[in-house]
Amino acid sequence: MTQLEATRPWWVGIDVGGTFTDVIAMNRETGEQRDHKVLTTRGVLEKGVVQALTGLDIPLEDIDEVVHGHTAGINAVLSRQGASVALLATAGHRDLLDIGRMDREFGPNFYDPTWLRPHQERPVVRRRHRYGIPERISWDGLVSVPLDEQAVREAAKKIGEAGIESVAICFLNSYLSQEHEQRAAAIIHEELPEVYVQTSAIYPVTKEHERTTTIALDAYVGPLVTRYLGQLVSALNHAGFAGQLWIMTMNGGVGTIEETAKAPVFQLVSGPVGGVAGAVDLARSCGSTNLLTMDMGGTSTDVAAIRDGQTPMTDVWAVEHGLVMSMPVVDVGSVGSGAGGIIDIDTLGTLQVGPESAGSEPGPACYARGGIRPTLTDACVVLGILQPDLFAGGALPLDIELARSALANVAEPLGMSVEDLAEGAYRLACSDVAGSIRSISTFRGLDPREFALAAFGSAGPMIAAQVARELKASSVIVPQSPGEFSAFGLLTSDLRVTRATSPMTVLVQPDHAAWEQRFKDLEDAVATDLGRQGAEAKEVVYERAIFVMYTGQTWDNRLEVSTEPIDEVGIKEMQQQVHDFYELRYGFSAEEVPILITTIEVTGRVARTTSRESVAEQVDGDPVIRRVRLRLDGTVHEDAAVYARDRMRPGHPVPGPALIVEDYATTVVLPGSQAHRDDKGNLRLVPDKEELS
Amino acid sequence: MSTNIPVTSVPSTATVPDSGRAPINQGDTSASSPGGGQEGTDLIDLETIRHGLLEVARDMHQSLMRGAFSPIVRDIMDCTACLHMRTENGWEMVASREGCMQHAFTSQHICNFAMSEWDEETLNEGDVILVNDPWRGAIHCSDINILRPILIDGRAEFVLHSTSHVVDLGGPIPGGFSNGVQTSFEEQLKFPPTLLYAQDVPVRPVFNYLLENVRVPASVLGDIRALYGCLVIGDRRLRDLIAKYDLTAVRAGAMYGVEMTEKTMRAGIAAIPDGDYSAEDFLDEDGVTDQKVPLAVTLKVRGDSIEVDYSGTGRQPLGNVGTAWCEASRCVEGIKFIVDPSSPVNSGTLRPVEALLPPGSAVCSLPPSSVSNHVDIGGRNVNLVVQALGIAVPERAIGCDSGTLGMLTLGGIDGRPGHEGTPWASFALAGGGWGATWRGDGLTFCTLAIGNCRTSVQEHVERESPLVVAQHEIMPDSGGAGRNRGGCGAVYTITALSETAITVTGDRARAGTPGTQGGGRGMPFYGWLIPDFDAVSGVDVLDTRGALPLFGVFDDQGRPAPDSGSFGNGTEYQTSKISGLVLQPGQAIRVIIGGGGGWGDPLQRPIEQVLDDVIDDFHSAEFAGAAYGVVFDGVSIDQPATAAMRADLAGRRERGEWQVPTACPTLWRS
Repeated sequence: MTQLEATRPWWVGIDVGGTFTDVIAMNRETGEQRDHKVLTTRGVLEKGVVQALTGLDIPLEDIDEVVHGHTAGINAVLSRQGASVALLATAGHRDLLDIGRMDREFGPNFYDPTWLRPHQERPVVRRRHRYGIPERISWDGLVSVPLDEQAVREAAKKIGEAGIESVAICFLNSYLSQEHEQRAAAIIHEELPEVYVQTSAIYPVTKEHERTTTIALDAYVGPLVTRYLGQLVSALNHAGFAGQLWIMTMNGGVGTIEETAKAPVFQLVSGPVGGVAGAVDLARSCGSTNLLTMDMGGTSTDVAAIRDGQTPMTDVWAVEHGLVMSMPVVDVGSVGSGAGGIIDIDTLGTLQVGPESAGSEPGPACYARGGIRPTLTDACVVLGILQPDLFAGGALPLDIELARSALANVAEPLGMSVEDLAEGAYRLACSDVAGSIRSISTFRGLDPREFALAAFGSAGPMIAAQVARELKASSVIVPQSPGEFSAFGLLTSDLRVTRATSPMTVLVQPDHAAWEQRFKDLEDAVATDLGRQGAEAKEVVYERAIFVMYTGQTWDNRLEVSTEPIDEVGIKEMQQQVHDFYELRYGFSAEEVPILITTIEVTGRVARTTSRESVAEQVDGDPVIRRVRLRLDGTVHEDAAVYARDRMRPGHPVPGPALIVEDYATTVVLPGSQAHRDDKGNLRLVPDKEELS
Repeated sequence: MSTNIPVTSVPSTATVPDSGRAPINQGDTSASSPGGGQEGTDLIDLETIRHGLLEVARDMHQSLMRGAFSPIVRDIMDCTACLHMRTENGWEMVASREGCMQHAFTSQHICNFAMSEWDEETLNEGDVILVNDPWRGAIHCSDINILRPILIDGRAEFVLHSTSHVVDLGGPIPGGFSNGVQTSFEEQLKFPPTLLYAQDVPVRPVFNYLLENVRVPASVLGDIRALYGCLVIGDRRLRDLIAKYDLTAVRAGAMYGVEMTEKTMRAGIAAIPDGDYSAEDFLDEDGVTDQKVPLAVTLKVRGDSIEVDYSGTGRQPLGNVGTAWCEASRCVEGIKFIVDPSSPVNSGTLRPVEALLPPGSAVCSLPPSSVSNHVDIGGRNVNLVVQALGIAVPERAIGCDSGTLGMLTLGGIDGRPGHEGTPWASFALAGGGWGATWRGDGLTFCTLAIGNCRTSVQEHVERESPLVVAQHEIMPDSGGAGRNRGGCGAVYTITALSETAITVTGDRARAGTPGTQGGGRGMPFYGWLIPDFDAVSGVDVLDTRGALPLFGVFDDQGRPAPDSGSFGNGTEYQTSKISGLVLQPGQAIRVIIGGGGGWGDPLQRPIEQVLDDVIDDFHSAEFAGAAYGVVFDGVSIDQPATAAMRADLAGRRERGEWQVPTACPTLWRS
């Protein structure tokens, strides 16, 4: 073998989740695919990454590219274990994070007088570390109060004395001029060279609360994310990796460590974004271009709606109520507990599954690690869905007696049997997930009947059939290696850069050349960013979007627009696109009112991979490995078949009730429906005709 | 009035499944018909339809808020969407999505009033009705209501309702809070049920009349389009749902949701010991006279029902602070807070409660009185209900919220370069504090319980209007002292770049909001005019030099002193309900909305929490000493001195020589 690139045939996706670290590898010469899963090593995530890579049995020297997704950022925010942060705000406005736009959180706590806004209860920036700095940019972008540099230096002194690690700087109207923020940042750098500093430069658009949130969260996670990535690089290098490392970001694409480190907040939930990227790929490859995705892991469930094979995007992304970031990101929502969701009875006697989760420590009772409260996993063990000796490929045998006794603690006071409680909990968990998926489909005018449900994550396939039945989704697709599917998604993601600017200008025909120039300028900036990451200009595919509203409104709407050079006709077409959108989304249009473009956005992407379709090997032998007692739909099925997924023959139907097991997932086939393996290796579940009607 | 007012208790005949959420002990769902009118519909379908209706409401609300043009709808979110269904009891609300909580509690009235006098024979698909008459259920004229009956096989089966505050509707005072006005004749445009769209075509004479009688027609037209448009969205979504499940199933799912809510409300009420529980309070004055307006409620708890009796409430005021009908159902929100906070609001929320409103009183003002400032009385009545329940169930007692919106309504003609001659109107809400509770400190930055208003986006305010929002921050020493501290109040300072007319609508300026279980009062409402505002030094809230007090309780040195000063001492006004105030360019107005009341004995608050409060400047060391008995030695607490001071204050309290001071900073520079 020569020392050419060909000697490094492997591409690897690594997804570090709350419970597990998953890796998947693809050999781009042979199409061979390998995967592995280890427990996440909290505090030293890079250790688990190297362990997982080692488990692939591939010399690290043979790996050409690694794409990495993680949840280190969001976990630090949710558990409030980020950096100590100071905020420099315009004098008079230092409490923006507490104000949180002031409204209450709609939902079960809306009328609860004891409810507190999350940032009041658990501040990201404590009030003692918020500094009002005399300065002001006015509505027209001009300086009305010069920056008080002395005040910045005095704040720096206090920040230094307090041992603060990170400083967020966000001034009012800085979307119009960043002069003050940049000067203040320079002063902080000067006074406190060790401290992490972030400003509006990462996404300079309007809305002071949302912008402050974005910057404060960046300051909160920036130090730990950059530190972790640094450690990851040296751990990988130490282990022999000499290829390219990419980081998944929330814009749905990857970037180099150096580029993504400029705004680590954009990788808050990079792992789940990988799942969506994989599902988009799945949608395009298998012809089901409408997919509802359900990624259920040990600690959380993430859902997204993919329409026409397009990555779903949103411009309003809430970490918690009152902590809202306003920027275009992949629209994937964490909607509740995963398979570790605790089963309990609330004060009104209603059964609940989650949101409390047993996590990986102590984990479900059946893990025999000291957990005594019953979880969804325990319920599935009792129902026969999870086979104790086959779980995690036999690596983690489950204890059914511990599952039963944990369930009995809740069932007995209700006078219920353990089995009834287990099934009630299973159905409720499915119904909760279905409700969450409805909120991203029905609520957005999408009919679930026109979608297939893509189920992945270790626990997704276990509930998919029941969730799909409730949603009346057309079918279920369980991709290959569902337990590591997010890692697979990372593997196939594009290199991507998004840039935006806020012109706040009305859209009129005579200005067509100016609009084209604005987009061109952004495209040039994007090309430069991509160039630094090794892309060639001719490979870049651009996407353009406008954020529009009628003059007098404030909620702008992101519309993707043509990439053709803008001429007078192009302006007219954009105007019509806006009016049509308003009729569809708002039930009216206002054609005499000028259209205001608040922000324009350009995304450049470069395909990284000529994704080879791989088909998992088919192993010889009887696909039915045993028959078991399985309770589904209130009925006990005494000899339900258990299939080994890798022995199933393509196209051959598997009638329900049945289980299809593989190393890191179990797929349930409901009575009356059937499953088969398609020619690409995906499992397809089709409900019986009656349920589809 | 001959109309049906279904707030009165309706006997529930249908049964509801034991579990509100899922069949926990029924293996076979198809066999789990919950009975009543829902025979033949699977429980999963019922749940799906119930959620489906909520989602129709949510989608309508999102569409309304995002599609609107005025800041009060699009940013502040003073807007709501509801669905009503024809039942044997009239029109019952089956789903709502509150921007503003009070709308959900009053929507059913409004729908019934309008539909009962509308000639249904003449209804066509796409007909849309406008109504804002307070004597037909509307809260005040500024909250316009748009109703869209949904015809199925020629008969209206559902009515979709959208409502929002509109930024101006004519009358003597911009913005709709007509402080100082005595009759409805002098107020804004008032519409009895009026056809606004005929088969989805705007009725031109109505639009002409409306738009030619308001100050900011572009804004009002935009909001009406959004209010109408969201009903079009709701119409599509609802018909999708009906097409998917059929009308019978949708009816069953809707009633299932109503009965589920009724069941949880009744269960909560049943847990309260039977008895009569009373509370009294007052409004500062009515903006015309300086007479207090006494308010009183008695909750008569009987089994799983409550009667709310307003007997003892004062006569209808001369000024605009009374209400016409809305207290009949708005008060239910106070009950919901305590007994059933989590179920969705619908007709089932209202069923267990009846209200008695003495005609001619402040809660049942008769025409032609002015009821345009409904907010202070509404907020106060919710406080009263919650206080009365605190007597019934002391372990659920909570302090009162800051008790006023302290709303600034602003408008004028823009004088900025490039904007000359453009009329503009805006609202500013500082928020306030909620009362402390048994669980912990009160919520900071939240408007009165009847609303759920958001802040404006200040960067939008400054672009669209000649205003500079100089300050919106936590007010130190504003939350009532207690074992748990009341939520902090807020300070809001705004300066004008061109001549600006301002209306201030507030209350709780004479005394701070009460605490509970030994907790202290929050800071009352204050206002200043700052003639020569300095953008740098002006944000020091404790420096009142050069500022003219507008209203509040002051001592003779011009310092705020809620316990020792007197109301109106040296102030420009003898009320916090002001209209006709004008800011010249360079001038500023500052208001302080007080915090919530405290819960429990402040001398029992752990000293570490008091220390944190002082470090974070929620409290000054001076107030911490006066109210919590905590003695500071530099930046740390002198523990022995604190123990001694706490023992001393407790003893003096025992002897009637000390009480917990009302929250207020002590070190002013005036």
